[in-house]
Amino acid sequence: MPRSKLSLPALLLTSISLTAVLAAGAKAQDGDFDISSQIGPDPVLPEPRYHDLLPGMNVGEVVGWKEGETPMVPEGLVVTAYATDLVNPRTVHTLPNGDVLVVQSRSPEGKPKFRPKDYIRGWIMSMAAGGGAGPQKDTNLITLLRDPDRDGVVDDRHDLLTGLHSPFGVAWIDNTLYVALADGVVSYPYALGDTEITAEPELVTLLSGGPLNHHWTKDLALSPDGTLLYASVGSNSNAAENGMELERGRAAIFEIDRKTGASRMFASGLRNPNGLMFHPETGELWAVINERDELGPNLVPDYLTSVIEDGFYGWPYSYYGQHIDERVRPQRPDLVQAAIQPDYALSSHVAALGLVFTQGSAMPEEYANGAFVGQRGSWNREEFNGYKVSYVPFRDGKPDGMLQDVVTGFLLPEEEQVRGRPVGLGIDGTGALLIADDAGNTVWRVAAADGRVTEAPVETDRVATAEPAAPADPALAPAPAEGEAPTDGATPAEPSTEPASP
Amino acid sequence: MAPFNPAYSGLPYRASVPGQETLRSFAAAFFTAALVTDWAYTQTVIIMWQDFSSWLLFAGLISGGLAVLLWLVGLLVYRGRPQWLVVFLSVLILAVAFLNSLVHAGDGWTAIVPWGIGLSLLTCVLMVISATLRRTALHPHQRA
Repeated sequence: MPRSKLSLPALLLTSISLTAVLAAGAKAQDGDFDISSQIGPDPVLPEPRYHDLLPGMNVGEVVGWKEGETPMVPEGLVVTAYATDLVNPRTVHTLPNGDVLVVQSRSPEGKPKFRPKDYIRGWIMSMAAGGGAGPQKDTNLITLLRDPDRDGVVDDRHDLLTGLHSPFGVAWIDNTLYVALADGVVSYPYALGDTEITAEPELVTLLSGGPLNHHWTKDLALSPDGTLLYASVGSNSNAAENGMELERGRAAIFEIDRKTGASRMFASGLRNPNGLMFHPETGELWAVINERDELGPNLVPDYLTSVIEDGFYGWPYSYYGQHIDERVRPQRPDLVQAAIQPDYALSSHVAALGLVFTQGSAMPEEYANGAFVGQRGSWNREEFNGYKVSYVPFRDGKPDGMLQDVVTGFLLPEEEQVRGRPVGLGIDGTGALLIADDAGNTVWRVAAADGRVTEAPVETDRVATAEPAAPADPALAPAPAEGEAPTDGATPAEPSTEPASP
Repeated sequence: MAPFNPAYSGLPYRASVPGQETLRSFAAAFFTAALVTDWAYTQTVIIMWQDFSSWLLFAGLISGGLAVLLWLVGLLVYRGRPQWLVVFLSVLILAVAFLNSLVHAGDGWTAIVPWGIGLSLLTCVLMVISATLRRTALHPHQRA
């Protein structure tokens, strides 16, 4: 068979050169890429790497915090464990009386798998979540932490709600607690100071849920006038690879009339938005967004952005404005053209999930006008990125200046071990920063070292305690706080910070 | 005792472990079907076809891998003289298919076009060459 003998070396050469070409693509983004060039309003975006045979991956082993270990903070700050022995704390929310709700949850089970790859991914993600062997502790609960004497130490603790469907965001107004579950928003009657909730939940509105529910965390914020809820819904895929028919009502932020439950899409093209919060001065909605993976270790940077009404932010068709993602078919040039470039890039794969503005808190001056961003940490790049809480300075309601890492030590890079993973952030009833550490099962409190506290608690949504700007509807006026709340609910919220008296 | 096929009487005795040929045929069918579903994806951009391709490649690798195992068993049991060119081609086919399933693990259009469907085509071409070689070895009088 002389003919086939002749063609064999040619075929061999073809397959070898093919492998070489594929491997060459993998080299394009390696080397000394400066991560800081992807922080700020105008990030450096390398060429996307579409053919990465074995995408870089590095999942640190979760080892937790040993007795006495804490994250690290710079001079002028002190860090303490606010609450321990929690089970996957994801978000923290401060009520008008200074009580703190800790939402603890795990991803919903029963996620369908479409491809061989999904089985491998499931295994990697279970490593990232930690927990090890053996039965896992019950989570999906909301715990109330109370510090009535405002000394920064929790005095009592109650599990308010248990057995929820993977809760994440919460909001409180008018004696009503709104909870964003993995498939919708429900409400419970709840008066400040109560230590239990026995009432059945009432459905406010449904949001896109399972069975897939890939990015399942639904965050929640209350509009500055207290009438509307804003709920985030993450995408059902990395880059629409499960089909656009599974992306209806996803990768978006919804606006919900909390009285009627009527909802509409407020903004879209946001792959996995979390940390919804209105800027205390400008009244603009802000969020942190997890961008897409598998285009190389330095694409696509996660970002912090203001979210404008009816804005489209690119996903899945493009990123950072008009950078087209060639993986997505059919293409939508009309949408790409309209895609908005986000405000502030945070660098790639940091998994930004938490956001809190510091105006009105009791943080030292250098952190008093900006935002903290919680970064849960990377798993899909060789070199770790994230695993920290950083500060973005603001001026005139916009990010202004370089991001600074403030709370670190969640990762032990040498040992490739993970002690904790910061997710949701908040300001507690005394004006200190709270960090929900999902893998470390702890809420950390970072306070000014001089012990200063706010005059009055600052609630997360800043509505119920706000000065009545437009008291159109008397029914919306805040109910007086009950129990041993140190201040009543009608106290104006813009507290001036001052050092604690000696 | 391997089954005796009268069609091959007079040829050098070539036995194989029962199941090896079946599994080899399965692998060939899976890899060929993957080329078809890749093509269907490029025409429709319906993700289902891409998922099918991934599973077909996966199934082809499993059955092809088992066929290799049985061939190794046969080598020990029957002590036949292997056709090394066919062996090499079979290994190459599995290697290309494995590479292809890594390419197919990507997301969306670029997981298929151009490398995914290109490697599926290459796999099929290699399988045709391998089949031709085996046929020639079994029927040397048809060489001419």
